[in-house]
Amino acid sequence: MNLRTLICPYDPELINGLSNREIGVRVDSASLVSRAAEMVRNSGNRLLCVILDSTQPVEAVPWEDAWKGIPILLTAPAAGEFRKLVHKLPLLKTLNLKIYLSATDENIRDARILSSLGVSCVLRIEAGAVDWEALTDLMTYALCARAPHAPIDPFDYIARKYDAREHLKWGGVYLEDAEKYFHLDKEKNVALSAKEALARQFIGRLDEIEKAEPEEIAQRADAWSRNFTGNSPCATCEGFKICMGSFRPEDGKTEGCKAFFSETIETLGELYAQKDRAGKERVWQL
Amino acid sequence: MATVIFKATDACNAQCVYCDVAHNENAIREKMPYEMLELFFSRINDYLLAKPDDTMGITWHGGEPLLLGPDYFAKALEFQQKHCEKTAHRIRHNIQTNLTLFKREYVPVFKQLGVTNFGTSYDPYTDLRGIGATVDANLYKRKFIESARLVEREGFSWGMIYVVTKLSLSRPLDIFWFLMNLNPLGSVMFNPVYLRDKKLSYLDITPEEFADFLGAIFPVWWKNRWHMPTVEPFRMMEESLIRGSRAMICCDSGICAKTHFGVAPDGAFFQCGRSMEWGLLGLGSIRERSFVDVLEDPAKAKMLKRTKLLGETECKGCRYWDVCHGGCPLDGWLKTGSLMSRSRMCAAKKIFLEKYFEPAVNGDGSQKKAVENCRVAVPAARASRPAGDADEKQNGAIWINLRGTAGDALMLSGVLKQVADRFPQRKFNLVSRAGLDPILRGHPAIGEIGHPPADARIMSADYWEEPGYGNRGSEAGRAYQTLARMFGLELPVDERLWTANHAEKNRISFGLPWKAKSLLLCPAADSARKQMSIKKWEELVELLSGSDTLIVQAGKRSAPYIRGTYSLLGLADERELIPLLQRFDAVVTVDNFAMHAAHLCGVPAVVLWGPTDHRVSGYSGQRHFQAAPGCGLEQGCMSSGSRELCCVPCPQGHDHCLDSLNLQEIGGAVREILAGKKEKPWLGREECPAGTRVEEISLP
Amino acid sequence: MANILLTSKCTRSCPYCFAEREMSSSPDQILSWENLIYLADFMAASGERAISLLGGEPTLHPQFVDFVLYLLQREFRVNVFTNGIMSSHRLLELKEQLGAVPNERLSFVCNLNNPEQTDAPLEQQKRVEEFLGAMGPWTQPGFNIYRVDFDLKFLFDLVNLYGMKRRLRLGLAHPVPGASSAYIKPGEIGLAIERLYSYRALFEGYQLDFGPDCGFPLCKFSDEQLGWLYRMGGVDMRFKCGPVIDITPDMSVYSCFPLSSLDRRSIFEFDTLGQVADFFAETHSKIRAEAKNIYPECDGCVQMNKGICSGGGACQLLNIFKNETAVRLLETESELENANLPV
Repeated sequence: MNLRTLICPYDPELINGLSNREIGVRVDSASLVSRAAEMVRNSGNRLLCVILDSTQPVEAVPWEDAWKGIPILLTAPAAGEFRKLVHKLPLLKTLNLKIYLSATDENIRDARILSSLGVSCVLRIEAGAVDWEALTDLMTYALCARAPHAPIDPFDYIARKYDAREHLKWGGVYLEDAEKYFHLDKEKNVALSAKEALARQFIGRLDEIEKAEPEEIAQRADAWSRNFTGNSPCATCEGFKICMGSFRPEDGKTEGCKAFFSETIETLGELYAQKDRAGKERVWQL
Repeated sequence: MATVIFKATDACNAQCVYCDVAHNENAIREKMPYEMLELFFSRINDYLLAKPDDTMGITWHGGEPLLLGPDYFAKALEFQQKHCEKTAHRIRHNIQTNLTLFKREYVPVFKQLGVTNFGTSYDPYTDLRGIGATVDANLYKRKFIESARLVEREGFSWGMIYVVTKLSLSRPLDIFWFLMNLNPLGSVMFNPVYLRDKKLSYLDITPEEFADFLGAIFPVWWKNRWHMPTVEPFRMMEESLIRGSRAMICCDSGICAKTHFGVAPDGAFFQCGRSMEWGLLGLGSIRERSFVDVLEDPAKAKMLKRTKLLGETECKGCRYWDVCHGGCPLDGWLKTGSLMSRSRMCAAKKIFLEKYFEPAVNGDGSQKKAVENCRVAVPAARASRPAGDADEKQNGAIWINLRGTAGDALMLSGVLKQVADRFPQRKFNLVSRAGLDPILRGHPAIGEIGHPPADARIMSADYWEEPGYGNRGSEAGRAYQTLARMFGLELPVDERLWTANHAEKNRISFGLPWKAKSLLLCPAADSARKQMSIKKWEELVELLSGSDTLIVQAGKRSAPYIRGTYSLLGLADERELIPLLQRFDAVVTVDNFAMHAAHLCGVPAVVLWGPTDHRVSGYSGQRHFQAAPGCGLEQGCMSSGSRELCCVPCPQGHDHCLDSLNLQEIGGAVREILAGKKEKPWLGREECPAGTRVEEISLP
Repeated sequence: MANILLTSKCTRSCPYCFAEREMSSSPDQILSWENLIYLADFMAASGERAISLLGGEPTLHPQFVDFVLYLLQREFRVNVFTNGIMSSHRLLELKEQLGAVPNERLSFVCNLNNPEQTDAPLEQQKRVEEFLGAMGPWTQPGFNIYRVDFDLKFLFDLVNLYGMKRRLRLGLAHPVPGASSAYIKPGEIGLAIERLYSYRALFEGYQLDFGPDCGFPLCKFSDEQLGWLYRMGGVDMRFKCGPVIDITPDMSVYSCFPLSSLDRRSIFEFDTLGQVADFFAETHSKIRAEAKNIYPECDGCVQMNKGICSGGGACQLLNIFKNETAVRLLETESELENANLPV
């Protein structure tokens, strides 16, 4: 069985009890960021990132110079007031940072602003609660804007990873790929996502699972195939190979997500065609 | 590669509605005995030894081959290892299965047999494929999907055939996307259903329906093919018709008889799998015959002759012969009872290719116009008859709208002077336009130059749009004559030019280093097409240079300079050019303002022509050199009314017509003119008489 | 350089306003963040390092300060054309958020009207003074000549009073084809220049430089006046006309307000500002191909042929064409038609 990356709470006993693992450590206070990183690095494990779960907007986080060199994943409700955020930008641009925002209208706008100013963002898309048109607009910006800008995921991820010959697995953008990430609690109980870990929906203990993988994992990985046995509209959607049916709204109104994912694939097609043409027109110089 | 359709059993766990095997009472549901299986591999070895350059593809078929069980395949592997030790590397195994019985236990033996891909068939929307006597379609679909996932997890790929029936026709794109989404790695082949049972005629489709089904899908696949799996027959047609390769499936290759044969569970040979199912084209038994024998059987030779025969008869001249070859002989038999007929689905191919494939591949065919409209017809009121006194009395003076060049303005000026001479009371106004006003200002026939009010009567002076203009066979077709006719003058008229508004003197002509002879070159024109190349001009200057001849170039500031000339570029506009011209003994020019001005001033001119015709636009008394166009436009590209090409560069490049003119002849003409001129009294940089109104100009 | 219009509304009604028809015909629009970012990318890709913000009145935009901060963060130099009339709240924002920005990075052009010649409520004048009091050092005065008896005296004191930049943006009010805004007619330009010249002592005394904005014909200046202009403005003298590029909140683009209906396009049709400029240069050529200039003597003028002077504004020509019957190039006619300009 392949060893997953473990997303752990900030618990010295837990982390020091692991060895030679790749670990993402969650903290809920900015004051713990440096300490958490150091702890993981000193525990004989590899640090994936420090996940700072902030209830404050990005501009209110007490950013520190000392965080340079620590891969940080910040989950925040919003970016905050621009005129306050703008003063933090010089520091933010020097950090190894990704900001996770839920895909509200405001955050969709702010993700673009941040990206244009050199700060990488990740938008958490939840089915049924998204302005798909605004998201399509942002996707076009993320993939096609001519001016240099920081990546916006999941678009950048999709563009890098999309392979026409396979279904895209992009739970990894949210650290929710059952084949790559386990979310632990202090007792090493394993959940397959942060939300499930918070809700204590565990599938077993780490040591047991790593001996014999439970069916849930394969079922989670194959969940998309259920779209092909029912009468799911997703099965015939042009954007399925990216979406995998993960974003179908519960009310069944799929026009929005369909348009978004179809347009994303179309945009990728244009990008590939451009790259292909550019390759053919290359000029050799002495 | 030789291909054997190997049916080790006709038994199947499914009962697909249109399957011939499922409903064939004579189908052999038992497994082929091991001793015959062993013989099979022995025959394979014999074949491969006899054909050292060939490979053998074994397509496990049925029925459902997975009903044979992993042990059977293990036995097959054993026999292969036993009999084909030296030839096993030239054997390829494929499995055609409904996948519903696939399990992990098969994986090791399939991998050892070198199986990498499964061929299958699936229908997401109908209940035509189902498991068991009840034809349980839902069970079939569920098991299929589960097995497909297992196949992928175990590292195999799979492709599928989709059988198009009447029930498919209402949703081609749904089917397409379903299959593309389900299996991005594998390939899909769309086949029309072939039905022998008349009770199933409700499923049958016509060639047109099949073509339209494919046609609904093809543009989408074509546009998205960069990220789509292979879809047949699209890929085959793209490869064959666009890339020129001949990668065709058996039905379309025309040589299936050469490459394919089938083996039934009882060892009987047939032409192929379908012929086996229909009991046609039996070729003996594996017990008596080798594979070489079978492939060289006269019946197969006859099938190959079919291809030749069709190419000379029914299919003769067909554009799509190379991707069809008359199709599957069994399709032909289904329609006519004769194996020598072409397939009834050939019509489907034709319709599909003409109606869908070619338009999508060739684009929409629209060509963007490369012509930039410099002069566009304005849908304004134009006088349909020559302007007369009655019009003016009724409506006030007519406004002349000239959308031409300064040369056109000079011609108009001459025409209007004749009008004014003959009808002094007739007055016109002139629509103000850059470059033209100066030529016409102060003209006795023109009252106002300005902006016509909303209710003004407008008369177009665009003579090139008049019927009859450009007719080389008639004087009336000349530009000047046409203009004169438009203003009510009786033809023919003397082609006299006139202007009231030329400069009294040219500012810089005093400073020129005059010599015994002086020649003015005016190479530029409103259109690049009317210009000779600078290189040719420079060669001409070299021919004409002499110690007693001053060669001067005039034109706009931006015009390229001709080496060897005295440049007055940018120093004389149209008005100033007229008094300047009068100082020269000759002018060499193209169809431009200077050509008209030379005529006005009575200065001998050598005029070079290409896209326009001297018979239409040049003046008598001038020496004309007309280039013969090499572009196929014998009349010249700008001769008739169209001025659309004015701003479009000549595509001929170095072969531009004007560049083909003979410089020796031109030079000779110039020298002749210069030889006949009297010497002027003023030489050197002295003050010279100021210019006067044109009627009074005369050379001393 | 291009002008980005943040809003389509204004707080003032200047008699010469050449944006009035454009503003009144477009619905209330403000530039969105998304479009601002697009335009910033567009300008950066075009190699532009300076952006002008206009309106209507740009400071009316709810995110005006954030937009300016954003553009500064993108390392643009930002110039804002304003009438100086804004709410106290907005003024406070400016002071707090922009007060520390060096004035090489951020500047204002405050368009000033003579309070005695141009009617304006006292409250508006007070607001202008408050603005100048806060942002004077970032601001250069602007003035539009729309009547030949204009009075500039009021302006010189303001410069000193508020520590403004000593350079006047002096414009000639241009006609909007078919509209009724006040403007200087071609025959009056000479008089206006004479009047301007009469202030030379004040310009010199206050060391207030200026460079004439578009549409001044060279020939209406005497040699002495030209010499004085040169001494005041250096080489930054313009006798040419356009194209000036204006981009609206809805991402339309046109070449200057008076020509806003002509060949109006979407910015999305272009890849660079250079392409936009080329496109509108072509528009201007089409107009100039019909009638080069506003005076008959321009035809054949050496300075025109050399490209030093455009012979007046293209808007002056279009203004004349609009009253004609249809005799021009089809494209021009249909544009005039489509522009639905009132005659």
